[in-house]
Amino acid sequence: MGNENSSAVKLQKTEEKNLLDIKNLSVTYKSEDGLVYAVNDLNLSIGEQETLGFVGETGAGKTTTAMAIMGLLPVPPAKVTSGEIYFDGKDMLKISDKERRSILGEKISMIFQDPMTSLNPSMKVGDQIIEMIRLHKKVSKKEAFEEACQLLELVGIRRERVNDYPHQFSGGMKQRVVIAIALACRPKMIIADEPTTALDVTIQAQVMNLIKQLKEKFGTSMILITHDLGIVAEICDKVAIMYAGQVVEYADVVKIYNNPCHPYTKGLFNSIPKLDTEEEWLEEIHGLPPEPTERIEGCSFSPRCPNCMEICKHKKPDITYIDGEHYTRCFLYEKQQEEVKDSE
Amino acid sequence: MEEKKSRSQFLTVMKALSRNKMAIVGLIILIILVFAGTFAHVIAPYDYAAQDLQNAFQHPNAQHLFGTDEFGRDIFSRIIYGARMSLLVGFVSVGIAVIVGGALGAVAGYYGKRIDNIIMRLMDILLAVPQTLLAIAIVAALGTGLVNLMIAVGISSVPTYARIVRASVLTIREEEYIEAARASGTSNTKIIMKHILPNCVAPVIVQVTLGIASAILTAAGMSFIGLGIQPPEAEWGNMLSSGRDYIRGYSYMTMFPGLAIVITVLSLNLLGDGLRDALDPKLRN
Repeated sequence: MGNENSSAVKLQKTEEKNLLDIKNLSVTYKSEDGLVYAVNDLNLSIGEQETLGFVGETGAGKTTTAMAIMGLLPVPPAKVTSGEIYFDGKDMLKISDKERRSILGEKISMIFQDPMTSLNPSMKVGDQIIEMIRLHKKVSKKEAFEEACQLLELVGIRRERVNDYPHQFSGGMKQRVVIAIALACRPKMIIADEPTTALDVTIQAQVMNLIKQLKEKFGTSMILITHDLGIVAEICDKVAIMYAGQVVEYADVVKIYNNPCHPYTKGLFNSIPKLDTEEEWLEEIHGLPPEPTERIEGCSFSPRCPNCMEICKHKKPDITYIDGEHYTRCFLYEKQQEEVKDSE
Repeated sequence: MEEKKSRSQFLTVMKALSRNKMAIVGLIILIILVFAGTFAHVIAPYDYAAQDLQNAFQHPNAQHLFGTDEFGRDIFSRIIYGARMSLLVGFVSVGIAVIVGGALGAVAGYYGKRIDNIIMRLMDILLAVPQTLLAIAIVAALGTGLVNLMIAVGISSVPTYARIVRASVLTIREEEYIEAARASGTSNTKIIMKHILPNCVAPVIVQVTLGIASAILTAAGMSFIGLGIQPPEAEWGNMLSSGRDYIRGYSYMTMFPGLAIVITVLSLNLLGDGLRDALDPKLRN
């Protein structure tokens, strides 16, 4: 990998270089009922300009992972027990607070779930954008003000509203402001934590389109945390399906929709109504996600899995590659692959 | 409609306040008092310390609106100068308390854990001593005088503000916009100054109006027992104190400073109550 940069021809291959690399990340929370295993041995990477959909149920560890990347986990009770998070070549878990503050906002920024509460009610929206700009760039107040106005226009808000307070905006407009703040320093990566969950359905599409548009315009990578598979299909390049703190399946967006492998992924897709077939009942995934305080000996999905085998109850499945980058953690495929190898 | 929409928060609160008649009465009295105190040297017909022994012990009359005291000093003038003193002590000592208490409370609430524990237990110790007693102890240590009185009254009400600020910081620091500020690389000091403190102003404003009232009372009490502002300086508390020897024959000598204290404290309390309702969005409309 090291000598790649030396030849100009191969420079185009920098796409291969990952912007974010998470290796064996484990996070636990201390609670009164004992340790909560929020993220278990998670591996993930995102390339430049790539959009990764991070899909999973509530409590699957999506937000915890995002917070770990930003180094904003509340310590204690949270604790990163193992792993490394490389962002732009730096281990985010080892850098100093000062260095982290210079990265946050400038290179990684975040769009929060609820725009109603993620803006400071006592500050004009313009000032909140200006604050973000001036935190990371040495510009005069006037320049920052001008830039704030431009950013507002970019997200579709009239520049006259720069001196309005957040309570004077509607939910969708507030989320636009939040997006403007997130984009203020042209970050390399945006983490969007369910950016449209708190919005009206009609506004959701608008906001999502805006995010997609701006992301492409600025060439930003994005982690999109969501449980809406429809949104994922629309704007993501890669999808990681999270279950009980682990990525159970990871693939190209096309591949995962055409060929979902893990029983959990299949379950998720089955629980969405289809347009082309008539169904009386949607299929559900039976049972509940495991209590995060207990550690299941085998595969964490085994108690709910329709295809559960004996081995699933005792051993944790490893990564099995299906097709290129597409991998899953399931014994069903591990066996198949072994059989293929044997026959070879 | 557009105009209504762009109304600032201050105007919203003022409008809510204006619906409360008692609060407005309080505000008007307070404005008059502040005005009288500020321009005491212009308004007062006599000098507050000018003695006129020939005209001592005069009941209220056309020349001396509120009468004269045992040295023939004009009580009306002394009340007006007293307003200056009382308000000065009230505002400055509460100012000290807000700055010190607010800083301690913000640090305790934001950082939590051990720092919180140390600061708040110290505040608990201060709270265990009655406010007046604490002020007396501080004045006894520092000596009497205007500045020392303000410091004493200020320090003795620090814990109240520390508690109020800490309580609001505790709720506000969990808000998503604080998380958002942290996620954009804002430093802790900046988060406290720009994002947390401006959002816990409301309960502090209410406490400040009520606190000024109690500071004025404490200061008057201190002067009454001779530990505050010393005669011949005009202060309501020491006027009460010097008038009490003549309360049987010349009750106006104690009545007017007493009334001044009551009216001032009452108006501040009315305003404080009104502000509390006006600043609480749940009680609005």
